[in-house]
Amino acid sequence: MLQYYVTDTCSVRIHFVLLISRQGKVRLTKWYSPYSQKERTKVIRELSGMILSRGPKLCNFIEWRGLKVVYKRYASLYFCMCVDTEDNELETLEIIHHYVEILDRYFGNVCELDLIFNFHKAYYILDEVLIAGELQESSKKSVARVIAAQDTLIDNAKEQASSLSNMIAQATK
Amino acid sequence: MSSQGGWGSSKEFLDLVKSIGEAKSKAEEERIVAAEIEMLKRRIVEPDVPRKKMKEYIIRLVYVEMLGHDASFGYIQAVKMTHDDNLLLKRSGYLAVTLFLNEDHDLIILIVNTIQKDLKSDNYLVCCAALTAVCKLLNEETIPAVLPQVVELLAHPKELVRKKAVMALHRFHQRSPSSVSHLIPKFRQILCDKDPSVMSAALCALFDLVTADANAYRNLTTSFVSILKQVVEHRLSKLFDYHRTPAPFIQIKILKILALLGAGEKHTSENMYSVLAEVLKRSDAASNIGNAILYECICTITTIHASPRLLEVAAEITSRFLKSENHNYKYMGIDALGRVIKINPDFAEQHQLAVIDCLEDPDDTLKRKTLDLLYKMTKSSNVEVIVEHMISYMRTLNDAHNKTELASRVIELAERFAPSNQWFIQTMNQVFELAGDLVPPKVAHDLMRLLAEGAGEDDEEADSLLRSSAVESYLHVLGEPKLPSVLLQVICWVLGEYGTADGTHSADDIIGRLCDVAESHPGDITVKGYSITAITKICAFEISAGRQVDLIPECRTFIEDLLASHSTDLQQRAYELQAILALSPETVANILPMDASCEDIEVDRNLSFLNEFVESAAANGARSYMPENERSGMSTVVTGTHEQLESSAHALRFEAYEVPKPAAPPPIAAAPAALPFPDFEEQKPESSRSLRKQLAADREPDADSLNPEIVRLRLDGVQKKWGRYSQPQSSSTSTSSLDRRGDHGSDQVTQVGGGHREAVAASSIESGPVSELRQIERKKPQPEISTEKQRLAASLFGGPTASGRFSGSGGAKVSSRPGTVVQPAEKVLPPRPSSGGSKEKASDAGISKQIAAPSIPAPVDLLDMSDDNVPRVMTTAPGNDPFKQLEGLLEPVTTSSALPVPPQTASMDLMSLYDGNPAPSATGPVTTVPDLVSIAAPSSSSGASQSSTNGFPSLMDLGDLSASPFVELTGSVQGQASSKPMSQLKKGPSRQDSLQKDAASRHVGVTPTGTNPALFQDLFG
Repeated sequence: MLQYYVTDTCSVRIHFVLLISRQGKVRLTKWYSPYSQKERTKVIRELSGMILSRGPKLCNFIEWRGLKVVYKRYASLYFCMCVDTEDNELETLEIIHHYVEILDRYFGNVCELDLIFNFHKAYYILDEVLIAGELQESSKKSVARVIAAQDTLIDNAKEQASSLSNMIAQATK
Repeated sequence: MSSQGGWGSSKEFLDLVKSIGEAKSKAEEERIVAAEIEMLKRRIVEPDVPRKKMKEYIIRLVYVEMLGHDASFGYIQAVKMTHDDNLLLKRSGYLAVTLFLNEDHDLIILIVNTIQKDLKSDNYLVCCAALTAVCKLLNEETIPAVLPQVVELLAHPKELVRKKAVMALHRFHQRSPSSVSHLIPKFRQILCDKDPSVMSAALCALFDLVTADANAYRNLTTSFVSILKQVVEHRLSKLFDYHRTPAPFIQIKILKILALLGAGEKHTSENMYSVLAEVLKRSDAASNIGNAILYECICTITTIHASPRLLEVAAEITSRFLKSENHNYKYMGIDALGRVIKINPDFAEQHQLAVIDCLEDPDDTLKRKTLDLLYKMTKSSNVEVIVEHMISYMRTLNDAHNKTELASRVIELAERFAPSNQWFIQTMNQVFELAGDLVPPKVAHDLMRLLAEGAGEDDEEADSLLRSSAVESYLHVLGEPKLPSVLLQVICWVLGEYGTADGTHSADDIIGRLCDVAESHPGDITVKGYSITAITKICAFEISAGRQVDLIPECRTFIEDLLASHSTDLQQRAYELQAILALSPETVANILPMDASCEDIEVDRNLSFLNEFVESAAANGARSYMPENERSGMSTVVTGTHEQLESSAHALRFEAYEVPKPAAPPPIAAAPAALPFPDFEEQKPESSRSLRKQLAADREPDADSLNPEIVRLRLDGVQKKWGRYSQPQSSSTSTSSLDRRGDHGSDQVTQVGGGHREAVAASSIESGPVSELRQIERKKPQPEISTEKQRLAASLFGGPTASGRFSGSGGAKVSSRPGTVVQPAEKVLPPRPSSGGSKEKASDAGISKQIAAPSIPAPVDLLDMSDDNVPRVMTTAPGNDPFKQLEGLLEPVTTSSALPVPPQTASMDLMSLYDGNPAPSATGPVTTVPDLVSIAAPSSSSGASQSSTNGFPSLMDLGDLSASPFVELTGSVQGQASSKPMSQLKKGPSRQDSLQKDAASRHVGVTPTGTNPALFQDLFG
């Protein structure tokens, strides 16, 4: 019954990221190690049960199936990351905080609703913070800039394309 | 749409989210999602779905999948979307596929082509999207397809792209090291990239490489050290600051690498000492991130070749962690303590009370971590207390994973350090009771072996005492309602072997109990097997003792049941029992001798005792035995004579087969297969032994000549763990084995020698075994700290009373491990006030004084940290949550950065800030790696020329930037981008904003889970 929790051989540092509301509803999940859909459901159920029942003063780490889950609560949302046991828990806690700060900066006073309705944006931002289970060293500013560039670029993409083709059309006339 | 504040999704989707948010029950939610899935299934296959619409469907698929439902029907649409030319759609497609698919999914093959194309795109955002997908989606087979493109991107002008390309290569290396093995030198080069984020990506890869083979990278030590030095000295751009700490994540990564490089390498380690001291000095102990770095420093310091001074600081930080009110720090402190005491075992003593506090903490995680620590520091002197704690913690557990782990630890400790066999058996019983079938069967076998062999000495009396007590305790345990199968097996075996041995229990009693066991576990064949065999043995003992066996009716029905059992094994055993009952006492005594479970039985592989039988059979015309390999292939062909047989074995026969003759006398008569009973599984040693013996007894008087090697308990691979043969881990001063008690004191005298607490040691010598000490302690109540704790501390850590023993054993350890590092604490320790005269005559009062000593928090002079350079933060550290303080600082930062920044100037900034540093640093004693970019610039024009300073070719010439064909394009793109004000960035944490959101949310009808809609209101306000 335990074998499917055995992590894959490659050394992903962060195995998954979960955002769970206080009611245990899933707000975001990102899996860096392979887990089947069934396992995912099981993991989420198990972990949300454990995390939500923990008191406020206790430490933010849980040892779980040979791994470690670091979580932090922000208002009504729990941000959880699962790392290896040898990893530095305080650092992981700061990675969570780093992500939350970037979210906050992007959404401007982020709230749970922002994440509910814009979960795909939260995913994009997460992709700029973590890649393949590793933290990408990046300043908050540069992440914000990339995301903004993507947003604006996308908005402009059409106009730009059309204006370019216009120019080409004019030049070739 | 406008009313939803630009959330950018259609009404339909908002409704879906809303209705799920409002769902009262899980069932309702399931229903809504199921309906959504049905709808999506229909919609996405409609012809001519507008692409924008399709993008939304895909986002909805992501949502559905996130909620734990299967959206595989739409994967193909997501794959298609990655082919789209529109970046917006492409990115959505990539996002969806990275979330949906894993690297081995069949659809990946459809994306590889697109990824290849996108990696060549001249839009860096497209490259980034593709690289992100590359990291997640490619496997060993598909990596080569994109590798050239990824390598090309290492030279991309945008640091963002370079960074992701490095990460992708790192990922490739993890997936399939061989695919990128030729690129490994590249990682070294990337370390010199002028952008810190790219450099740090290279660190991730190098960490893996160093983990695999530290020797190959030891020459990079100076580079890592100089990078770390620059980072710590705040010479990186402020952009990489995190809560005013310069690039903490880079610091931690380098510290990890240094630990790997320095482990066991004196010279390499020495190069790190100064930078480590610098990191320790500069890290902000009031912030969480600062403490994360400090913790990492402790890890590094305790891994590399030890420096006494650094160890002192590490120890001091550990104390601070342990004394902190914050549970997180306590947890880290326990972990750090485990690391520090590996090098300096004495350090544990001053923190015993803190550790005990953690052990009794209601926080489960902390408790478990503390048990981990205790597990690591278990000695024979404290094993009883620690195991007791572990077992009581095990009672509270209810998940299998943890229980198994804990049980195996308890078993390990018990096997290594058990003070007495009695204790061992009791502990094992508890483990079996609590962890039941999670315990590996090997443990049960070991336990049985222990009982059978006794303590390994020739002290028959002690052994039989042990066995009687085992029997008593098991008879008692049998009263419990529910017992795990493994324990029942052990019980049955023990009762069978020794139930009647000491004469306190009659055979009928034991047989009755055994029948009860079998009866109450009708489904468990193994237990039944053990139980019937046990009954057989008891009957045999009775018979051979010359007593008449009258089976009790209960037992008769049990046997009758088994005679008709579906399990042939059980039938077999029942028939055996019946057969034995009919035999004469002498034969029975031969079959099942009393207490012979661990007697060696010689194996006669030649079966020579059958010679006579074989010869007479051969004389009567039987065929001789043919080895199995010669027989093969012949079984179907019945042929006449032997000669024919031989010839036909190897050649094809063309003539017709002869008519089969009436069968020759069966050739099997002499073969072992002719034995009336089949072989038994190894797991049932008793029965197979008995039947073999029975046979042997019938045919030959020599019972031992037939020889199943499986007869005995399986002992192979089991180490001697008992008595005099105790392992070196159990310290030589252990009070463990009972018979050592006598000479225990003298042992100590010889070992205390260099210990620094003679007085204490002497007192422990005087008072002898631990138990007495504890009694004394119990008599003296301690005023400051509860006696209970005190006693616990003493028993766990050897405490002050036992510290003589402790240091003695510490000394023993040091001498036994020549590589052990110096124990700095001992050096710094001032001479303790010890009266030489008290050595032999420590009175009771003297002892109690010594006991009182640890109740005061560890005396300051214990670790004299007189060095002023060392930050003595522990005393000044405020007790409140550093997170909060930091978060208070966040707001101004946020507002200031909320100003729209034109991206181009900012990115120039970034480079100039980073590049501006070399001038001062070039004069520094250590050449810094990024500096090489500027230093090596003249020489780098010749391509990959080696820089003279430390041999890194500078990859990135500044000239590249302007020469790059990309610059114009990206520049124009950015010009466009910056001409539009970035609305998202503008959003500051304004109150109005959140109020609007609140209103919007009310409009949508979803109440966020908290009453406070703004996540950060309370934290950042």
